[in-house]
Amino acid sequence: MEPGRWARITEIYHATIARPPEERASFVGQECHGDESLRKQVEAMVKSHERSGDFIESPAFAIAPELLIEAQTVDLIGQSIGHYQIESLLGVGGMGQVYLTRDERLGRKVALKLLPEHLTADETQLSRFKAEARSASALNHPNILTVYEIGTEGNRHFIATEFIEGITLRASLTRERMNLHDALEIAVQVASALAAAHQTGVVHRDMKPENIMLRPDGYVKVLDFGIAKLTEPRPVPDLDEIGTTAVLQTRAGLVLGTARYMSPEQTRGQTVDARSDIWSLGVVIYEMIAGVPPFHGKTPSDCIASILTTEPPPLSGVLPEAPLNLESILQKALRKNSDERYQTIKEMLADLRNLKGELEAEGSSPQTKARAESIVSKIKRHKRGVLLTLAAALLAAAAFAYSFYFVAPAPSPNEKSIAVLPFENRSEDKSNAYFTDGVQDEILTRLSKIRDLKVISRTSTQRYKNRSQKLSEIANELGVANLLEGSVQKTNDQVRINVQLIRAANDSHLWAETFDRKLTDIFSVETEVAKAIADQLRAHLTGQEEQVIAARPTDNPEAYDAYLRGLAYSLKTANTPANALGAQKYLREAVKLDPKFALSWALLSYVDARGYNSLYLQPTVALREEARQAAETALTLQPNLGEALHAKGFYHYACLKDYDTAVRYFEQARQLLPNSSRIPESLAYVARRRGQWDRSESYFNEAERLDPRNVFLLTSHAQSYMILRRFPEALRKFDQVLDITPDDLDTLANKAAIAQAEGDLPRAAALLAPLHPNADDTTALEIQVYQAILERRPAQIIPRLKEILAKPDPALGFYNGELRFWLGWAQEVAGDHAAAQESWRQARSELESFLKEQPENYQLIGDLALTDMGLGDKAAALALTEKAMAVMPIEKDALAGPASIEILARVAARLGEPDRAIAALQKLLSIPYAGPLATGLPLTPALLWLDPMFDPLRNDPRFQKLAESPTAK
Amino acid sequence: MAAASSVQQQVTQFLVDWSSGDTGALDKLIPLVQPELHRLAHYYMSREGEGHTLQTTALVNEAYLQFVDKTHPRWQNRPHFFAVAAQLMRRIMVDHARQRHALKRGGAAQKVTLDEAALVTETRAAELLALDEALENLAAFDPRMSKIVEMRYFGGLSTEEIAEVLKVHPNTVMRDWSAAKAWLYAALSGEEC
Repeated sequence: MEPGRWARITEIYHATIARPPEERASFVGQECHGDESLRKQVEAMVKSHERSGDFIESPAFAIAPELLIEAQTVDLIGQSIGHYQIESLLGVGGMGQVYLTRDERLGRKVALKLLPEHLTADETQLSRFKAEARSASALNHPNILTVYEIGTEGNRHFIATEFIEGITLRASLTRERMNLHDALEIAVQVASALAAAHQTGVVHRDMKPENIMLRPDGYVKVLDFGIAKLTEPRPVPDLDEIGTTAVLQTRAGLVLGTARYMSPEQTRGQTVDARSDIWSLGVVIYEMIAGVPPFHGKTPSDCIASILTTEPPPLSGVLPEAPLNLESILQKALRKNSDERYQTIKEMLADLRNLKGELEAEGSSPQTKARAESIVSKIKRHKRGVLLTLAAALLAAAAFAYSFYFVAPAPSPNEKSIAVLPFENRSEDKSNAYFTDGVQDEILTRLSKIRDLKVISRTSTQRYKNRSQKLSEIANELGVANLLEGSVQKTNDQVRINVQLIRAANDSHLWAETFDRKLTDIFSVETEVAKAIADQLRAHLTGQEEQVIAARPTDNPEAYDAYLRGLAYSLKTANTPANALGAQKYLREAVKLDPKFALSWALLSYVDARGYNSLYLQPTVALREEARQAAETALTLQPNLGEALHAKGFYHYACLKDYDTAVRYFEQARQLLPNSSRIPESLAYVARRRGQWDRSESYFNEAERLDPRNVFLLTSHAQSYMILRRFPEALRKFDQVLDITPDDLDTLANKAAIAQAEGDLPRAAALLAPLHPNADDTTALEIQVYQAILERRPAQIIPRLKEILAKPDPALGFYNGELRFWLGWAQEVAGDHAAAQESWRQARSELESFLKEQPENYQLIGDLALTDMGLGDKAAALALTEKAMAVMPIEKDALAGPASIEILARVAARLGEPDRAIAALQKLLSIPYAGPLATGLPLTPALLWLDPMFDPLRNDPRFQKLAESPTAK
Repeated sequence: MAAASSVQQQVTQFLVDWSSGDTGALDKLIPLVQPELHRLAHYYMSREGEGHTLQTTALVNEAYLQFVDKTHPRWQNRPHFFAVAAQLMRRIMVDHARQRHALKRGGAAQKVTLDEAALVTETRAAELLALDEALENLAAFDPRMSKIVEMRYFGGLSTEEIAEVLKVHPNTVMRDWSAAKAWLYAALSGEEC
């Protein structure tokens, strides 16, 4: 440009912008009169001036520090990271590069996200992220991208997740506005993902269309839970202006698209909870329906200002037919003050579901147009060069993503969910029921190994045996779209199996088949059925999965028969000595008949280890050895058997307390048993023993989602609440159990134990009155005995105990001695000192006889300590207490370890060591633990008041203070 | 004050050479400075979460303290250093943007960009290249304006510091900035000026 001309342009430019905007046009016209090209040039600059806003105002470094970082090249392709062979680069994100890899161990496709160095360099930040990512990886939900592994290889930190083909919601939104029906469908799926996450305490923190993937089959997957933790600013306590400014400054490099979805509290840098995700989801829904985001601005700061101060324009303005209910859902989600918002995503989810239901009922769901077509035409219209605007950048995303998009009619999202209902036993011989159950279970087990299916576990379908409910109701209750019904008829070595796959929505048969086979062919039938179902439900089967479900566990029909009988015992709801012994007997028989029967070895190991740990089988060294050998045999026979890996892990957990190894096995098993609640259930047990109470709770919740009506699981979860002294929650869980198995004796006894701990003896008495536990129902029986002692009215219970002990069941082992100790204690409370001494002497010799075989039985040692206490042998009692502590230290077992401290407190209280007793009690009342008495409850102030063993401390002011502490009722 | 390290002496000498017209000095300078700039950029990006402000001046200041031999007789003027640093920064960032851009082009067929942040990075790379080119064009008929943008945008210099380097009144810097910004914006939006 010629210098004179440029000088003239700038001169007029400066003079123009000095004037008010409304005068500028005419001024430029005057100044450039007669020189059209000059006028155009000045006008362009003035217009630019008016529009340029923050353009190049922030230094380049602040806007794009990532440009200073060496661009990572794609030379990783062909290399391996861990056991992941990198095949191609899928994409690059602010949180790192994502590669498509092949997991060489399991032979499947895995998406691997390499986290950028600058985000992982800070140890604190990294460990915060890892903690979050680990709890996020525990999430197992059809709408949450499954995280396989969070790992480190050298300096590289990576996250391995399931690989999905689909497009992001962002890409989809670049086409014209989404129709109401599709938007609600997506909203409901995203909300259920969030509900599952929030339930386990995981907050997403970065909900935006980029993190929502739409699969061609209609499934919606939410990605990157908790990853935002890596970049999150430390919380600022107050919402003062300094806070806001600080965040704005901190986030100078913030991407506009991220700012749009931030909740007001996030923009202020305050602590973020689940309600922040509710806001962000509200923004996403608004944008899906209105086509524009509710809050926007040219720059992140403008956008944040809009989030903090403006109300979104009513939907009816952009979409006149928007239902009023939707408007109110969004208003409630987008309240600036989080206290006024939906408080839980569940409420929002319920409202969204209702609205969706209403619209569908009205038949107002418009036909979905072929999406891909409209995306393409839109891209064509917008073909452009330099990507100056965000919108153009987003279009590019759609263009790249298009190749991954398949046109397919979208089925409803849970179409691939199925429950296998209990099969009907049509055999002449009704005792063949176990066989029918076994066939049903085998089919279900095979299905549950298919990752693409959502399968409801067996224990959850048990209740529907002899059902009279309508199929659609059952499906609704279980949250599945499909049901499998069947019947089995067995005569000698012939079986007839009839199965029907039913779509619940319209009660239509998708598939039905009758198989007449030899008993020896049973597995191929089960495999055929599983495959046919996968096929009918259009579930994707990996090569590995195909192999796994085709496996024949044994060629020996008799061994299989014994296995099925053992399995039936192991699945019974109550974990009692009788059931554990029954399972053990048949499983031992099965592996004797077919020593190559890996599945049966695995189950035997699990039954043994569970019995060892829970003490329902006598925890002898020999039992522990059997558990180990059985697991190892199973693994040797079939190294890739999920059940065998689980059994090995469970052995490490239950028998060795080697938690790290156990968890490693469980994680491996999870890959092979993706739908099995037993993995998260086992992880919950491990976390509990490690004192990781919150994590344990998350795992319990995860397991319950996979198997919502598993009473064994629900009971274990309730027991966790008991241990944590969260009695109302424990009672709610027990009520859930009673809903499924009404009048369950053990559950009612547990509720009574809680009433005892709360000091409500009349309520406990009312619960216990109708119960008549047998000798082998040790827990319920001892809760009754304890009730009599707390009430100080042991008269009625003494004859019952004498009656049981007159004919002791040898299989109950040390429990007989324990019960005799209680007899002595009841006699002591009744004032019959001589009888008590006699009972304790006998109890001591009974208990001692088990010590040699059960050296690690801390409960047995504790029983002996209490017995010696009764006999007044202080030295022996204290020595045994020490021994119990050494066998089961707190550091090794946060759950059971403190039980020995309670023994110490009792012994010290009784035998004239008040200082030691008080110190022990102070400690106990401050921690969660499973108590040494049959109830398993930790001490509470109310129990201190009531329990006669603490009588010697009653006048001690320190004891009084403890017994009056706030938790007392 | 500790004696200047050999790296500091080297860097300072190259800067002096470069500012006195030895263009080859820049090529020797970049490899010396680049690793440290990377480290600082990593550092600043990871500190983003801790309430630290991303400011070029902070970075450049740090670079100044690290690289420059403050005892060098011809190098005691901070704004002057910053002006050179801005040029250096521009060169490094544009080089990186070019790499990014090339990478994106190369891998585009198989690639899905998964999130907006990455798209924006790529967009920024493209924008930065476009801006660099426009600045070149601007320098052809108004070198001072181009220099002002470079110092402010790449070096993070304040109006006063730029005025000091250029030996002009701060008001002149402001006026030039306004016009340069409008012209660049128009040029990048595809409007003819």
